[in-house]
This record gives sequence, structure tokens and C-alpha cells, in this order.
Amino acid sequence: MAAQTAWQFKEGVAPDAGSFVPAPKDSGELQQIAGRSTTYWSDAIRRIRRNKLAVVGFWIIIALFVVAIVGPMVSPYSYEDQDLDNTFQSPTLRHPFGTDQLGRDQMTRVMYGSRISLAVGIVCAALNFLIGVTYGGISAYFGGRVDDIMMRIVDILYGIPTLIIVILLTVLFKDKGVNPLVNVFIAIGLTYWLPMARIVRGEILSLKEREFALAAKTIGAPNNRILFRHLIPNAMGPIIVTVTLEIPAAIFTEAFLSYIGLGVSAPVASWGVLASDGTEAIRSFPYLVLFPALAISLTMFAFNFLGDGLRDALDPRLRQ
Amino acid sequence: MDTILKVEHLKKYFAVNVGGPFARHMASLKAVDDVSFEVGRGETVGLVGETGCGKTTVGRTIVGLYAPTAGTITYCDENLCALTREAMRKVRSKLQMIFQDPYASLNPRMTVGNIVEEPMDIFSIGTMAERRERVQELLRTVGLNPEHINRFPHEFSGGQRQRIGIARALAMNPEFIVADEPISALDVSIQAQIVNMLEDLQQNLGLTYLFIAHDLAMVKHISDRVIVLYLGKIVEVDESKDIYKHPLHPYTKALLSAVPIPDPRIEMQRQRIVLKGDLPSPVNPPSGCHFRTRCPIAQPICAEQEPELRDMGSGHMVSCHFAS
Repeated sequence: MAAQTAWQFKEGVAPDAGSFVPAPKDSGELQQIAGRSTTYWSDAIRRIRRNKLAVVGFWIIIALFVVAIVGPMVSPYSYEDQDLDNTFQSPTLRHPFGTDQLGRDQMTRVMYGSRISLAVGIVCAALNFLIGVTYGGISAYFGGRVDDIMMRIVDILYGIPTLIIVILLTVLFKDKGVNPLVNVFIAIGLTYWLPMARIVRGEILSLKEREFALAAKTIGAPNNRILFRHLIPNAMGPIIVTVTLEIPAAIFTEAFLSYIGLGVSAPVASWGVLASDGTEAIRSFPYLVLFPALAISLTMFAFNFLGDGLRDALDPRLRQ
Repeated sequence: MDTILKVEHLKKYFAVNVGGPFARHMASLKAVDDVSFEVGRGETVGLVGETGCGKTTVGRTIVGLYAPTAGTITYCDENLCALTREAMRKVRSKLQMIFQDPYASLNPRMTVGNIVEEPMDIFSIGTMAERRERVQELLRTVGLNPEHINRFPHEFSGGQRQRIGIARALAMNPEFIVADEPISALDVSIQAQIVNMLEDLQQNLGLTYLFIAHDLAMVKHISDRVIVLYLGKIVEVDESKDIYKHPLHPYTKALLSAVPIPDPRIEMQRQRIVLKGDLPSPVNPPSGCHFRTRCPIAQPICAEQEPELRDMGSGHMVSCHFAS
């Protein structure tokens, strides 16, 4: 508070050696900040807005959610209503995406499929947060033997292909009346939190050595508070980026599993089922595979663009 | 003067792998090796030494961030090393720490208000409104505008952040503060502000400081007594007004000769003692006297026998065979 070395000009005098007077030693003033308050997130939003692709991706995802929720409700057709007089219609005003081999409106089915895809995405994101973040955080925070054991479990699970898990589950739940979508959810639940656990572990390992984590310890914060209030919020950037890149992977996995007949099955329409049905008639009626395929690609692009944009916006090393 | 903190035969060894990336061969790094000292209530004790001598480890062990390998730390007649985790957590409110790097020691995702309030929140002291009021009072105590309570740490300058760190340390009305190089990351004019503020706080709140630093001029200014560490061991202890005039240990002499003097004429004339070589590895310290490899007056006895910390009268302790 004392010993300030700043110098001031005497009023109205040109600066020469004699015109300097020392500033008062202790002005008794409190320290001030003039600048506008900016937070980490407002800064990140400002940066992501400059990334056009990420903004486009963001709006496509929003549109996707709106279509998934509202689309099937306002559509005059239902995803399972058959109209055997109008099979294999080409796209018209009545059926913008045409109709399939049973005369079902393809557009309604694609919109319904987006519900399944987004449900898969949401389940994947939730599991990533609930299991992946907590697991990786605990593993890194406690370190040593705990870390060794927890990460070896992750390594083992990593080694099992998703496809094998789904096939095993299908055999296990066969004729038990379990919705095949549950198989997909369990398979995604078992595998998709693994990269997240690894990424969070890496982040927490470096964060826990930072002085603010030590400071939290010296003020008597218990372990769970240090982990969930101090360490994980500081790893939020990489966590969000990982989630946005994991979601499209999970959506694609569901589409792929349904395509090869291990996921949801008729009459429920998922993008994978629609693409699979469409491929059978690809020579005569290519539009049947075109629209679900477009929907899948568009979603992949949107999430990946947003994920890339978020990574650039949240990475402190790229901050401007 | 009654003793507030007593450190006896404190040892802290870290396990390190010296076998390279593929061979696992563990050795112990002796960061602190048999250190004993006392701190009286209301006193400021300076802990100096070059990088890697164990200053920070001593400080962190005292506030319980590290568990000591051996030895005891007695705080107000309570052995901290024997306390359970829960009991230790409670004692910690009286035993606080100010950190070296004001940029790293504040959680970047929390507002200043939340940072300063956190200790009170952890121990559920007062209502939310009372805590807020206390936070504003603390901010005013450390010379910050209480209106900035909702700002984030990155909006403050280094000196201001260090003030926030000090406000957090003061939140639980501590008696003893370990200041771990609180000013080394700040520029000189700000250093003076912070040190003067620490002195004011000491007078007003009756604090005791363990002041860790490598800036000897600053330590002389703030400390009543100075402890000089070299490679995890105490080499000299004395009143700070005496040690600067009559250093006895060759290491202390060399350290003091490196302090710049703010007068170019004197600065040009004086003799510096330049130590040869680097700090030996604490994994494999020299036999006998740890300082002998760089000591200008080393004799064969130094390699064979480890010098004891001897009392040279009026509390001046030194560990050298040839000090007199």
C-alpha cells in the first residue's frame, strides 16, 4: 500500500527534469479495475462466433432437435402407417422424401429416426458425464495404486469391440422381450465413456499439482470438494469437446448396428434401418437411401464442426 | 516468548525413479533431512536458501500438504503428525499458507468472493449474508475494492491476486501463516506493497509468519530471525540483524555476498564469493558436511564427519567445523 514509485506531471508544465513530483507514498485508495468484467465462457462464445462452420453446425443441431421433437407430431402420417396403394412413390409434395416398399412416408420415418439418433446421443453424453468424468477424475485424483487399477480396467474394456458386446447382448436378451434399442444403449454405455475417462484423467493429473488445488487443501477442503469444485470445472473445456466428438461417434455406431441388423428393427425407423432398407432398392429407388444417408452425414458434420470449433475456442493455448 | 510452532527432526523424503524410463529403481530424494527449529508467537522467521534446498517442502509439510517421513511438528502443544485427517482439517484453519504464484494459486473458475469465502463455507461458519459481509471486510483489509467481489481472478494484476490469496488465508482468523515466497513472482514496487501489508497485518492481527524466500534483502527487512537451509539441512540460524553483519557459515557468507547493493560505487568495490559448481543432487548428497563440495574452506574432516548444529551464543546456531 505504500512505496509507490509512479510519477506525475505538474499541471500545465512541459515535462523536464524539474517538473516531476513524486506521487504520494500512500494514497490510502483501494485497488481498482476499470475494465469490463469478462468470464471464461463469454470469452469462449465470442471466439466460437467467429468460426462460421461451428456456428452452422450449432444451428443444424438445434434444427435437428426441433425436427425430432416437433416433426413426427405435425406430420399427417405416422412412421408405421402403411399405404399399400402408394408404395415406392417418388418424392412429391404429398411425400417430400417419397414412400417406401410399404407405402410409409419416408420423411416422417427419417424425422422419427432422428429421435432415436438423438436419444442415443443424449444417453452417450449423459454416460460420458456421469461415468467417464467421475471415473477419470477419481482415478487421477487419488493416483498411485488406485489409478493403476482403474486405468487397467479401462484398458481391458477398450480392448473389447463394441460389435462383440452387442452380439453377446443380443444373444443374451434373445426372446426376453427386451427392446433391441436397450442393447445399443448398454453397448454404448459400456464403451463410450472410456475415452472420456482417459482425457479427464490426464487433465486432472496436471491440474491437481497446480497451486490452487494445494490451496484448497490448506483451507481444509475435503477430497470430493477439491475434485468436483476445483479440478473438474477447470477441465470443462476438454470435457465438452470430447462429448461433442463422442456424440456423433455414438450416433454413427447406432446407425451402423441397425444397418447390419443388430440394432433397432422394423417397424421402428432409425436412420440405420432406413438406410439398410433403402440399399435393397438402391438401383430402382435411390432416393430411399439418399435421405437417411444425408441425415446421417449432416449430423456427423454438424457435431464434428461444432466439436472442432469448441476445441479451438476452449483451448487456452489458442486464446487471443 | 511462548513457542507456537516446534519442528523437531523433520525429514521428508520423496521416492524417485533413478533407473531411467524402463528400469524401475527407486531412490529417496532427501528434500528435508533432519531439520529442527522453533517459532515464537508473533515472530517472523525467514527461511532462505537457493532453489531446491527444501524451503518449500518444509513449509508444505508444516501446513499438512505433505506427510513427513520422520520427525514431529508441534503446533500449540499439539502434534500435527499424530492427528487424524479430520482433526488435522480443523487445526488447519489456524495454520494457513500464502502461495508463491498468484496466477496459479487462485481457481480461475471461481469469483473472488467465492475464493475468499470458501474456507468459511467449508467449516459452515455464519449465514451466507454474514459470510459475504466478512468477505467484503477481508477485501478491504487487503486493500481491494469490495465491489470487485464478483470478478474473476484473471481480471486482477499479480499484486492484486496475491492480495486475494492473502485475504483467503486470513478468512479463518489464523494465528500462523506460512508465506511461501509470496513476493518472488511480483515486480519490485509491488513486492514492497505486499511486504508492508503483511507487516501491517501482523501488527493488527497478531500473526506469526514463516517467511520463505530467496531474496535476502527482503528477508532481512521482514524477519526477526533467519534460518539458512542448504540441501535439506539447516546451516545457520540467527537474529536477522546479526546474521547479515556476522555470518559464520561459509555458505551464508556466499549468499550474503550475492545480495546486490543499491549503490554502484560500493557495488563495484565489494568482493563476491562465487560458489563453484551446482547444488549436488539431493538423491545422493555428499558425505559428511553437505556443503563441502562447494566450500572454499573445506578440509578432509568435512568429508568424514557431519558437523553438528552448534550454539555460538545468544541463539546463533551454525553447523560448520570451522565456525568460531
